[in-house]
Amino acid sequence: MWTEPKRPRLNLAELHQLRWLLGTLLAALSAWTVPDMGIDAWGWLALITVAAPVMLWRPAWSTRLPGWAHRLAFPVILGLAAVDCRLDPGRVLPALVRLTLMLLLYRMVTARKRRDDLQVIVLGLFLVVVAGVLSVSVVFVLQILAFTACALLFLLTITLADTAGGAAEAPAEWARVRWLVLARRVRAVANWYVVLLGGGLFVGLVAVSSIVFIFLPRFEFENSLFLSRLVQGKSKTGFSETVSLGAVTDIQNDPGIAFNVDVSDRAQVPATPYWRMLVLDDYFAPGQFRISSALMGTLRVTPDKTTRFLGTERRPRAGASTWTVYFEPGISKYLPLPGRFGQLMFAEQQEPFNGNAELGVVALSRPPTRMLAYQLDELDLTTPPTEPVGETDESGEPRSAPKNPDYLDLGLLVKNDERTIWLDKMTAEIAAPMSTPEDFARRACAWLERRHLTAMQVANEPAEGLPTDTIVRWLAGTQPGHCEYFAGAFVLLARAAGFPARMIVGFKGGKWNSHSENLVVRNSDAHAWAEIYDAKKNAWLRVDPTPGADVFGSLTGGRRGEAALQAMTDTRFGARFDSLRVFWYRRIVSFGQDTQVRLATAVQQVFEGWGRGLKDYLREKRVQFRAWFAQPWDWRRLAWGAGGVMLLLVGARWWRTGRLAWLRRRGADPIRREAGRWLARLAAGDGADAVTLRGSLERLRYGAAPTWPDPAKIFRAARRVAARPRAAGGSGLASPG
Amino acid sequence: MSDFVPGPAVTDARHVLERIRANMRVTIRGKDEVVDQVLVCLVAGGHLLIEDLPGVGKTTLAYSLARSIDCDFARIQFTSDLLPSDVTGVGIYDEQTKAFVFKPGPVFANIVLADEINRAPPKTQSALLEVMERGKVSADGGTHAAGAPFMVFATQNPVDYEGTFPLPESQLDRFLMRLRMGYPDAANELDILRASQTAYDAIALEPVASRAEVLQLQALVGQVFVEDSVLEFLLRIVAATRTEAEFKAGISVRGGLALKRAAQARALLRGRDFILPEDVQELAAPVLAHRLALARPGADALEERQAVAAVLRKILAALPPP
Repeated sequence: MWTEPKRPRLNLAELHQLRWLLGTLLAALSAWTVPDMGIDAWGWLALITVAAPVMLWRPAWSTRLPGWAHRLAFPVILGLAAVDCRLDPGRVLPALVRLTLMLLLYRMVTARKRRDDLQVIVLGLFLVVVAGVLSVSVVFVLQILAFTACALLFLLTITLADTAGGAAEAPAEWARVRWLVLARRVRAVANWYVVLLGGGLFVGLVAVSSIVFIFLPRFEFENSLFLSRLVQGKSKTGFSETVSLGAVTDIQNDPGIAFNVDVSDRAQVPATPYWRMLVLDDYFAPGQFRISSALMGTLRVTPDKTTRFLGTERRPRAGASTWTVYFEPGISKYLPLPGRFGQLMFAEQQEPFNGNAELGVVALSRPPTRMLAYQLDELDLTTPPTEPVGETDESGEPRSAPKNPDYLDLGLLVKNDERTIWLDKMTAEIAAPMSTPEDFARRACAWLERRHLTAMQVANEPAEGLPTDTIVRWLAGTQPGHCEYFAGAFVLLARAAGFPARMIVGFKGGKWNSHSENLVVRNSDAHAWAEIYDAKKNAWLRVDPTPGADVFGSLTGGRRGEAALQAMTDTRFGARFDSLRVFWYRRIVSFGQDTQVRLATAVQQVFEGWGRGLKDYLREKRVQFRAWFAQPWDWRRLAWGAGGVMLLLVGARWWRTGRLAWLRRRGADPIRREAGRWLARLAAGDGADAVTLRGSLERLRYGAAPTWPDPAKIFRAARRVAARPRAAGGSGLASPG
Repeated sequence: MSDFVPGPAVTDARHVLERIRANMRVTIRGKDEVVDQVLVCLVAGGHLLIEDLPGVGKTTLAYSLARSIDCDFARIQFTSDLLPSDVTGVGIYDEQTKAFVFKPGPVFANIVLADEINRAPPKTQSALLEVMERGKVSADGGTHAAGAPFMVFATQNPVDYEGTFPLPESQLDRFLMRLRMGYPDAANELDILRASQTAYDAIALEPVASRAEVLQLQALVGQVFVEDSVLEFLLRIVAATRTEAEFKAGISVRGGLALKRAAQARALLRGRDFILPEDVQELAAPVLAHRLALARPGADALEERQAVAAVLRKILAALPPP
């Protein structure tokens, strides 16, 4: 009786080896999504990275763990997770991720049953999804693609192993794996049609998804859900209304990216951009600055949900540029602004928020919990901020006083007390009473630089005979200090000398990522500096008293453009990965639908262009041929025509017979192959015609070629039989499996 | 020259073989598979080793075949004192002609049943084996051609090995196939019991084919087409026995050729002029099993046979047919 040919299969041991390989790969792959989350789990990650190749090299070790170790494993893991939670209270997600890594590690180094394999998939999926939600980067796309492909293969192997061996234990020889031999076996048994079909479907699905992604309207793709809040914790106090000494320095310890900036005009980029976020004019307690309520009053509230915030309402000027800022979540509700701008536009509608363009401060209702993108039009990096006018009434007249008295207030210092005496003494030492603010600033900075070095850690303990105020005491001594000490001290000195002054917090500098061509500003670039008011110019001059900085920053002078970018270029290897994040942001963020429409139109135009080009080409050829045909025929043209027809005939002949002979010589007879496929496809049937058909197919597959019946006729008959319902014809398609 | 069988010849061959098969079924009941394999062996021109207990119909099988194809039948009971000349024949001095005249032995029949071949000493065994291999007998300084067609049915008891001379592997290689008859099922055995005849020579079977037809069939076998991929499949099976750790040694080149010829004969029996991978698979065990020995011999012959069969099954299962 004719039987369906059997395809060779992997035996149970080989299936278990494959399962082990895919499980280990999957675990390693998902564990390596953790660095993207910005969660500290390097220890566990290193262990997993080492364990993966070791366990692939010696799978037998997975069975050698003693029983007591298995019994202890889970209590120990839970204990470690509890300790982790205790050490880092309030941050659930990092602890959860580390717990997952521990479980994955345990599953990697111990022999797995079916249930454990499924657990690996679920744990891996958790990590990949969390990484995706938190990072929202192009890397995530690659990760989820690799994970999905690996997980699908893994599930297939688990199912095959299940079918082959049921719930039976893996045979002992599975651990004696030789990967090269296994690879050869997999190659031998793989049904390449199915592999190609499966791979093709996968690639097709990805391609279709990409096209759909280009054409679909965007829905907050950059949303990182609520999880980012879990991982980022609360935003740091360095950028809140009240800033204590050391709060900005705290932020400097975090190397994470604060924001990325796309610049429209590279020539505009200064060597050291200053990103103002918050103006602190009120020295309200020793060592503590805050934004005064009067200044707060000058921040106008936008009436409703909006995407636009109008700035200084200046006419567009030549050389003004547009910068796009991708602000990372959890940094602050105050937006970093590099200079004066004509208009600020958000990618999405915002809740009502406050802002004052003259002051150079825009405050959202709360710190963004996901990446926030905004665009600054007509950006002007050279004009200093002016005195804010405050709220205006309907006629445009200011309602509050233009000048804020707090700029001269020394806060808790009472005139003529011990501390004012200290400050007066110092200001007298710094400059003559009638100097200009600019002159005073230069002298004061030089004076500070002579007396103090910079340091991240400051020892400024109260002592006998020294002022009680933190900053004044620091000024009286010669200890090193950080940017906040210098900025705070400068503000106090300037005010004591009679110059309005205020403290500014934000970021200074940044790096130029040459891969994605954008500015990258990290939390470690957080900085505090000061501004001094020049009444003659009605302008606030930037003064950076921290030693090493250019006193007036690069507001008007300094290097700009290519020379500046070159000096700022990030040469680290990691810059490549940072650039992926920006590429992703550029794709997902659209200020209006313009970019997306442009992209979709471009894709459409490419396809239409191809179609049109082909049509034109064919039409042209047809016209040429007609013209050629219509010419009078001479012997030369007749020879050309006859030659062409002969060539066609020879070609057709070769296609019918020569091609087959050529294929047969290469051992790839297409008729035998086709007959073999039909034999495998048609199940044994009891109909007389089915028996005859099988005989003919067998002859085509295994018989001598000269005895073959007409292959086309036989294959047609086979198609008819295959299309027939099984019940009616007695012969039909073999049932799967 | 064409290397394939013309269509009408195949149809004729199938008809002849079907006639023989139907004829043999009259006496050999419920053993269609065994009958088919005997016919394969006949058409392939090979010899058969039947291993089974006494009284299961081995002699009847050989006799039925001989009767069906109108051939001479001889039966030799091998015993420990049997001499080579008892098998091949002997030269006797003829008083009248004053010369030695060769008196042919029973081996000169067409179908020879060598009963309990392992009871005879090796010298006698090899006398028979020479005829099997060459189709000729060397005696008294001359060679004498054996019958055509010529087929030996050798039998041996797989259980009772006391006082026997087991055939060495080199000699086993000369048998095309080894078969087991087995007991008939209950219904067929009842029919056998109902029949009154007990002795094989009482079987009255009319010949349904001539010797010439059988020789024609044997000539046709070599022309049955073997497609390259099937030949490679056959070679893969043979090669797998050579690399299999459980076997002492793999199949010889002669064994591979035997499998190919047997598969060709089976194709002819099924009315085909080409072989299928299925032919090779079906015949792998009967053609190859007796040529293989385990690296670690089993406790007894029966156990060893089963172990060899199991390893062969494993090899076949692992090799995909083309």
